[in-house]
Amino acid sequence: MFDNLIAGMHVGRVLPEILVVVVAFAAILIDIIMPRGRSTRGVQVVSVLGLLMVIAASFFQRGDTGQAFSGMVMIDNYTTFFRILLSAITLLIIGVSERYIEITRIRIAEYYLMLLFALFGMLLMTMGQDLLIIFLGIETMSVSLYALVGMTRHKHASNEGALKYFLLGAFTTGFFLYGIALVFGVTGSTNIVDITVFLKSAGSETPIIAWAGAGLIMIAFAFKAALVPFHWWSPDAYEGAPTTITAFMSTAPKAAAFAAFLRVFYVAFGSMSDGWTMVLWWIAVVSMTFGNLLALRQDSVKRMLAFSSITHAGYLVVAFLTFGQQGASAILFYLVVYGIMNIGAFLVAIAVNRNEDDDKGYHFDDYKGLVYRRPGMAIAMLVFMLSLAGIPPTAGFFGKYYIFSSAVSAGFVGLAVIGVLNSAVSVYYYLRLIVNMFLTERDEETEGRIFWTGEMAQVVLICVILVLLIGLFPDTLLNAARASVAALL
Amino acid sequence: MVIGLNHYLILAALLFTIGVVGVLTRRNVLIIMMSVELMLNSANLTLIAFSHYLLNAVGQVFVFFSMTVAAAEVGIGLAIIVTIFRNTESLDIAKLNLLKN
Repeated sequence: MFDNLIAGMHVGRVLPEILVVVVAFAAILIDIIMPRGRSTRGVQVVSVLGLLMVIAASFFQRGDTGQAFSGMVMIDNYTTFFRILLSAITLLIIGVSERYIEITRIRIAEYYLMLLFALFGMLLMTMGQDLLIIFLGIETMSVSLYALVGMTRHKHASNEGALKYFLLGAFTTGFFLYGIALVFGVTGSTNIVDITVFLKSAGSETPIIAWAGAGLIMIAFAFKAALVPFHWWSPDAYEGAPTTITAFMSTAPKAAAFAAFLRVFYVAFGSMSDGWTMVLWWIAVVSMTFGNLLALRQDSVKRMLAFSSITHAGYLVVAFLTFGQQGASAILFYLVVYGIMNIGAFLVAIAVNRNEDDDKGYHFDDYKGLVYRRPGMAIAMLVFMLSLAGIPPTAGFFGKYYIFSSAVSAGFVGLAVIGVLNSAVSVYYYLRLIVNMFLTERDEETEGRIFWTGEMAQVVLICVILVLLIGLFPDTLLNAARASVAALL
Repeated sequence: MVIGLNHYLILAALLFTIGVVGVLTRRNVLIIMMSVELMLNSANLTLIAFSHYLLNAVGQVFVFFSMTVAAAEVGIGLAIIVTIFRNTESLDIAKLNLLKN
């Protein structure tokens, strides 16, 4: 009987997740065994190798699909897509971290441990087929991120960002849990498959409590994806966090939040789509517009990128509310593209910032004449800014094109027009940086030392190549996104 | 009077509302954390009440997990509060405005 139980669990299907936890524990063990001061090197090597193994395991396991742990998790193409994306983002961030945590005086292996646990939480979110698993995934990710934001303990801004993120995050946990409780009360289950069956058969007689539950769960996801009006925490947390963590937070958790958001709302609450698309229509409009208006006013590149990430989340919601395969695959495509270009942009910002202890080097003026000092870096930033603005031939152009064309073909023409207008406005602040880099004289008195390591150069180069490659040949990624979404709908 | 499902649900909804109002109006970080705990526990109460009346143990199992999660959150939250108190000697959220723009 026991053998049957274990065979029914299909433990092999969650091998990548097991690997992530093993790597995390190996990392902390190495930190204990190796002498103080030299251990970060060992932890770094183990984490990078471990994440490469996780990506390989996810890739080679892509054929073995199905449920595991009695329907608690679902391993399908959709899960595989996000596994590879999220592990790759974590790998890029960990790859550049070794020297960075030295200059920011973090210097502890818990940094790696928390990143790996956050990754584990995000993987649970993408494969959870039970609201319990999604809840645990969100919490594992969030608790790790609260600690990561506050990693630079001596910095007031970091403390404050962590506190705000924590308080508002815990607040949303309450909403999420209460929403789950209400949905459980109506449907008698927390499993997404059972909820889908129940709500489909209820049809137009869906009880009001189910609507309330779905609304509360939507608030929780909107918070995690930093959508207006649930975005207050994000600029402060993004600015207070160490910049590598900002790059991580604005890409991977956003992708994981959308992955779980898609699975819960497209599958479980799919029969209630008439209601939630209306709400999301407004959320999309205000997210795009407010994010833009606030980003326009910023003088700090780090804050500008933080606010513009709200706008980008708004674009993703535009595709989300089309409630169809085309929109969902556009979301997956855009999440990949956004991850690559945003990490690249943040890395160049880290390089230009002259002193990590006071964060003063993130001002737009610090980029004056960058092309005369570091032509390669300036050209890389140019590619990222053009891509964020959505100008061909970069990947960002196709990302936006797929999103807005999915909105048009689903009949949301007005929304697509608002989106394109917002996209045009956003060109202003991306262009402002480009003008500073290329068309302004350098100011030798104020410019500081550039922080640049071999690892950062490699990662930025990878990001530039990917942005241009996807921009020139978007079909491969789009087909992968389509195949992944087919498993969902 | 027989205490039924509705009584539990109304009690939980009231507790949840008190928690939300507490988070939004109080200025002291510790009081805000207590209000958050109130929200989480009202959700737990809802889960247990439904679980009992639906004769379905899933809700009660869920509560075990959510209590663990709440404990972990309090742990990390208090750690953050200790570091911030060392730097500022204050727990008033209104004074934490370095990042306002």
